[in-house]
Amino acid sequence: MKELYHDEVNNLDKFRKKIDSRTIYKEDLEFFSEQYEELIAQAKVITRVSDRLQKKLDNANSQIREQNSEITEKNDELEVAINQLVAAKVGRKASTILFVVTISLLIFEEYAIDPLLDDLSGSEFISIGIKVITAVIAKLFEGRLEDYFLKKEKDKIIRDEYGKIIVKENR
Amino acid sequence: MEKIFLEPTKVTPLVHFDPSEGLLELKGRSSPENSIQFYAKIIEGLDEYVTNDGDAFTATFAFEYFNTSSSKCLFDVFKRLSKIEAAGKDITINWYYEEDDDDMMEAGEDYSDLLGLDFNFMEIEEE
Repeated sequence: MKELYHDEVNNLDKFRKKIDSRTIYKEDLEFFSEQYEELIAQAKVITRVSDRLQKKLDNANSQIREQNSEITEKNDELEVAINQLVAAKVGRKASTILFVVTISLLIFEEYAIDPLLDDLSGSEFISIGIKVITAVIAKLFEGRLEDYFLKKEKDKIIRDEYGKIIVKENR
Repeated sequence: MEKIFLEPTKVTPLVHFDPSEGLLELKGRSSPENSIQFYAKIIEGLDEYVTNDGDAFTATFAFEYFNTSSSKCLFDVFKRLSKIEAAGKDITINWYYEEDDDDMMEAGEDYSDLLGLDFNFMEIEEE
């Protein structure tokens, strides 16, 4: 297989052989100088072409770096937005569950505990106190419930992402 | 002398060489695995054309991109075109470049200046 500069290498070999055999004529020197001149012309054009390619590559690299930086920034923003969205979703879920539980407890208190309290003391304040305590405990429990669902949601996301990675690795 | 027609690929240009019509066309991207091998037949064909009866030759180049080793092979192609001109044949060289691709235009100017060939520079307008 020919190499890229095979003609030039052949000419150089021939010229060296002539030097070794001490049979160099003026024509040989003229031919060699012409070849050298042509090589200079080739070097000039190839260097210019390479410089332009390097410039393009450098510009493309700069653009990629800028785009990567933008993507990282957007990813961070997206992560914050997703976290906020998940928190809102989980918050709604916790509120709904707690609302149902609290209403159930209050109904239970109204119909099961209140008649007993009426029989024992006859004071309405104890019943109101129990309702207030139920509401306060429900409110305190809401935060815990939100944290629990948030953790569960994050574990699910991590599991899903891990699953995708495993599937990709197995392909 | 045989005709050469090669369909373009992602790394090689379209080649249309018709010595009987005095026509050479190279269009597309040029970054072959082995540039010297890819351009060898064209260069051999041009070497033969120097001694051919034809009296006019038109070469059209429309590159989107060519790599460094292709630039060396293109130099060899232009050297042969220069020999064809020196043999007394009319030669027309059309150098197409995409709009705003100043680098490609300047590459054509470099070949034109260094080999003393007249190029017709033509801009391809974007659709």
